[in-house]
Amino acid sequence: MESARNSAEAAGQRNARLVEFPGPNIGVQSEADVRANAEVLIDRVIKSLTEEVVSGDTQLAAEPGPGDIVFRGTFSAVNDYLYKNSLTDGLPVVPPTPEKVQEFLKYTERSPDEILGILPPGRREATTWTVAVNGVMAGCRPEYMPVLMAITEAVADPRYSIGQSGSTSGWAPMIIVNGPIIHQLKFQSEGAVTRPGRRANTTIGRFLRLLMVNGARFLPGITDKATFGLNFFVVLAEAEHRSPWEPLSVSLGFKQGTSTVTVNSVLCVSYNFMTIGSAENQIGIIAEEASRALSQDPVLQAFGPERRHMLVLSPLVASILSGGGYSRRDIQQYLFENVGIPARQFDSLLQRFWPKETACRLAEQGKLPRSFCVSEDPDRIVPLMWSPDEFLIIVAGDPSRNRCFIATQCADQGLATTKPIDVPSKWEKMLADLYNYT
Amino acid sequence: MERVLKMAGEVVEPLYEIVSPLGRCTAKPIRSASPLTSFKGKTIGFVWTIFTNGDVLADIFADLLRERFDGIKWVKLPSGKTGKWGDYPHPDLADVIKDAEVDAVITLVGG
Repeated sequence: MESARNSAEAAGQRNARLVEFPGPNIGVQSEADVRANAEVLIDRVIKSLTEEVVSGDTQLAAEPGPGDIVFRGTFSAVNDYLYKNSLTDGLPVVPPTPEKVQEFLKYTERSPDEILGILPPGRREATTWTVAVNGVMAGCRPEYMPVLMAITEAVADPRYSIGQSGSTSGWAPMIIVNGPIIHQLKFQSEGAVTRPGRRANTTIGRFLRLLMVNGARFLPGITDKATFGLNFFVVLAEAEHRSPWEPLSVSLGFKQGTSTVTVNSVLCVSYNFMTIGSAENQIGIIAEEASRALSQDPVLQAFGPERRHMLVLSPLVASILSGGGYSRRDIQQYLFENVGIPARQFDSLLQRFWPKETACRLAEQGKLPRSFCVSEDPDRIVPLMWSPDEFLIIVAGDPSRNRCFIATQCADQGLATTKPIDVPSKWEKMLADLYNYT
Repeated sequence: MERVLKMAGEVVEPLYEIVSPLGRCTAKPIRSASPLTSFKGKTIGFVWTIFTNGDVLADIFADLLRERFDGIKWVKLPSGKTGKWGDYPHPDLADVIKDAEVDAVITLVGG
């Protein structure tokens, strides 16, 4: 109820006509229970639709403008203020003073007032200014600003659909960075790459979490309706210098040398499995593990035609596959042709959500491709992909290990969105001054 | 602004003056629709996000309203023009509702 009220208010409607259906979750109620509850509820529904709503046009409360001082206090007091007003992720933040924000604004030539996007469900503007404020709070360095801007543009893109970030499954976004920016900002891309520790990876990952709190207004348990919810991820930078292939960004259509961010939802991160033997053996193992990972939620197959799961290969595994003649595209094609599970297993998993559905019924309705129902044989293998593009293949991690992991993605919720990183015209000099590059 | 204040030779904690991390709220006040004076002969829409049992509830509500009011027309609507299971309502939901020419709409949220 609180979530519905918050979303309605964010859209400008106070005192929306809301009636709460009695729990537990309607999805687990029997038809008799639904009927019994509906009979109790119907009079309230009728009353709600026939009564005047008196304050639907009430003016919204005034809020401080950018640059207005909202609080003054010690480090502890500032953190208490921000926490009590639901403006943090629960960890201590760097106090966002105007001077700190200005340091970040030096690293973009765009106006502080420029709106990069409107972020639902809170429907608040993400401007250059608010990006800088949240970057300060996350502990970022000022020169990370171009990356923060690109991330904000990615999640504000309708393709990414940030408004669904508070859904039941509790997915979380992962940021992948490509291009010269990896070296320039000292991202970690090798050993322990997905663990907190390197400042750029960690604080930029945290920035997105804060943007989701202060831009989209996802508040745990209120507007964030995740059953459990994943923690934020640190940035995954591709180990391009160790990769036998072009950078991920180039495979997605960007020019070599262009720095990019890709933001993608993650539902579940697999075990970091070992691959052994020849390239053919290793890709077979990867397909087995991909079948295991993607079979966890076949309902996602019916969410639409696009998914972007991530297969992260250590540089050693990538070099073995490349040595065996596999390009990135070859691996995608192999997985497309070999990832699948028996139809009886697919249908059983599907029926946890839709008790009457099968792969064949959904294919008949046009919700799955025909390839999901080549026969009625319950032992046939049902594919778990609509196209070879469904795997983003990324090279990262310890160069000497024969390990991989798969991160499954939540279809049209947080669908992989890539944006170029727009650096200021004097970027190279600014970095040289900072890091004493020669 | 960060300041270090000294009081009687004692160093105290720095004070910080901070700005808000919130983006500007884009909401414009929306006036709620006028209430129905009666359900009789009206067309009522029911939007559901394809969550389990939403269709069951829609049918039961339709039965209960028909028992109480004459001539009610009941229309089940998707949560957007391309609504799928579990979708957050699509912005084109407003068009779906307008196209259906309903007098009132009941939307099932959550599940």
